[in-house]
Amino acid sequence: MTKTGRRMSAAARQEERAAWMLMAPWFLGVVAVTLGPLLASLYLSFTDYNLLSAPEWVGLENYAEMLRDTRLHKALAVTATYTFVSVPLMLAVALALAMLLNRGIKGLAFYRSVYYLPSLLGGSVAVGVLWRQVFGIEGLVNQFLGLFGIEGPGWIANPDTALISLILLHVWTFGSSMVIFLAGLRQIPEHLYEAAALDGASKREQFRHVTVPMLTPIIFFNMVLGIINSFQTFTQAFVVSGGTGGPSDSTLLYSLYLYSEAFGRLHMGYASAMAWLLVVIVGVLTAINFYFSKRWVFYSDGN
Amino acid sequence: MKPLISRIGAATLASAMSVSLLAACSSGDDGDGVTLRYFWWGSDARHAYTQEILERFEELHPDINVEPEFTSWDDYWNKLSTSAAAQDLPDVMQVVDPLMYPYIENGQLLDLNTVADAAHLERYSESTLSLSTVDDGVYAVPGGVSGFSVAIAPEAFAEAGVEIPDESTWDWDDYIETAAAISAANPDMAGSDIPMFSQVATVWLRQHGENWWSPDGSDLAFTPETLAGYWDWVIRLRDSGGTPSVETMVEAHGAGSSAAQSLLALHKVAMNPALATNQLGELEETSGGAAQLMIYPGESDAQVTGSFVKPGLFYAASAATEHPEEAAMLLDFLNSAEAIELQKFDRGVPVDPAVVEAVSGDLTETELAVADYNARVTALGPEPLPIPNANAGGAMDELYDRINIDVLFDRLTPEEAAQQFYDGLKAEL
Repeated sequence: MTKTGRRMSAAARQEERAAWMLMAPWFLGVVAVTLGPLLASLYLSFTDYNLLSAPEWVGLENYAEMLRDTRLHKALAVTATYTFVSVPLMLAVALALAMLLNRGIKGLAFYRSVYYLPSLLGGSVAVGVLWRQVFGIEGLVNQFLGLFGIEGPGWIANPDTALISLILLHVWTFGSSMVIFLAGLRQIPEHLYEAAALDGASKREQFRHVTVPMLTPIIFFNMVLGIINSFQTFTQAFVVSGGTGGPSDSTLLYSLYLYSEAFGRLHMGYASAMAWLLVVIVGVLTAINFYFSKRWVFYSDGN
Repeated sequence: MKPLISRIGAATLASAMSVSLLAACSSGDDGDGVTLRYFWWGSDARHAYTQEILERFEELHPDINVEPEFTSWDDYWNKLSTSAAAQDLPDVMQVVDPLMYPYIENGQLLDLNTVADAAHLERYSESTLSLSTVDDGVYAVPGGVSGFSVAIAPEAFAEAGVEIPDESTWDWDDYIETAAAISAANPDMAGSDIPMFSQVATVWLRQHGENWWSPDGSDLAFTPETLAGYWDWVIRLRDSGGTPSVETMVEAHGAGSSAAQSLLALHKVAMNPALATNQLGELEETSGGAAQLMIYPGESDAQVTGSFVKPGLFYAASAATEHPEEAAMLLDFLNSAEAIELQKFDRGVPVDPAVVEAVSGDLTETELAVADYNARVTALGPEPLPIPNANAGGAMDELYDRINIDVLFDRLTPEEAAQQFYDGLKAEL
């Protein structure tokens, strides 16, 4: 990064102007579309607001209520389980497939697109409906298990297994992480592998001592994004559970509970406070991630 | 677009109508007529005939234009609450208890006493208005009387060689025995659904002289012991072998609550303990066979009648409507014989006996069966249902759903469940 401020060359100044121009649409969008609701929700989080009459200032009451709300605690536990199980699994699958594709197979572009597809579709309502069928009592999964004489449960109907089907749906959307891994793998200089091979490193050692360290910035990036995204997951849980977070709150993801408080129970003030708690949680997790990243993320440019 | 001829015809008809009515129509308007928005939820069939009803209304009142807005039940209340927040409620809307009470409490709905003449409030008996009357204000008129019943498939009984119980004497144990007998006789069918919603519990509580809510809705009026007794019965039903598996029930429950998707319609069970009676037609159409409505078990032993009929939905007007008179006229028309001719009993049995009389000529057997069931329940002299609490009413379904499933999966005992439900609901008051 340039820290010399005023002493920029003409070329650098021109580049900066271009940067501002290219970012302008985004800034315009933030100011015109996002900023208003953002500030409004911050204000509403300190009010008692039911959509039907004017908001009433209640100070920190909504935030105090969160400490007592056992359903909120349940939603947090469900979301944490969902995140900390599905994100590592998804990254592992994405990395494994990226390594496979990186071996230079024919038709790479085709496979890359095919594996990327679920990332585009996974958040859609249609796939949620499909998932209900696939994991139903007479669905594909149980038909497959039936071939081996196993009688599967009603995955989505049973509170003990419903979250598993949601986690699998999330893992299935590994495509975008995979594409980023693939790009990262391409960036690793071939001469590192050659040097390692000359030193007698096996493929496994090469993976451990060359690939993984060189990929750590990418793993870090994918992990941060994965955690943020999974804390915000809504559609899948909404469709798969029929909008209830059921059975028995077993799939009550945080944003689903927020939605039902806001629009089901008309507790819009409380829901706004919940939204800000989510911001804080995601922010803290990301900060923790960045803090620990110094210990394991390796940037080859020396920074 | 309506053909020109019918417009002229309608205009002639309208001019023949009372002058005062017309004066009311055009009040405060620039002569181009009045536009009302009417919002409802329902099935595709309901969307289609309701638009025909609105066309008839427009023919009668050429200077009133009604814009139809409609959606499914699942989306309805979100759209309504957000339009209320934007101060853009439709002029006329379909509502129902308990979700309508926050709207009443927050002054969003018009007190129809202010337009009593145009709304013809005198057509409605006090009992049919009881659920929509709050602090002497009448905030909605019932769209039809509905209720819940045990629906059975007589064919399935015949196939299994099980006799249909006598509704005037059967008790809750008979229900379990009947369900188990059908399951035992027919391997492809279970006897009965496990009830997933709270209606059967409502009947149970009432037979024990209790109710979910005190008469004015300010408090709870049931004991955890009685509710635990109900869940105990549910567990006995589940363990009798007379029902599909709990997982099958939860899966079907999650797929939707309409009669067409019910296990009874799909020939997987012979009895459904909580059919909304206005859905009998839809049920028979999907299943392709006749169904029979039965009074709930236990009525002969109970001191108080548990079964009930109640308005299944209501029509209300926005407090902010610029055209309260016209809105009231539309409310009135929705319950007129002209409207019911098209609607039949899809929104329940019309509350005005004169309207039922007027359409009685072309009622189907299904519709007659629904009317007859209502009459049989009314003959038992049920107490009216109390008004649900404005705050806790909206929390009840979600709380019940969750705890009921915990009971079915043995995660809670009936006693624990009843206490948790009681405490949970109490905390929402």
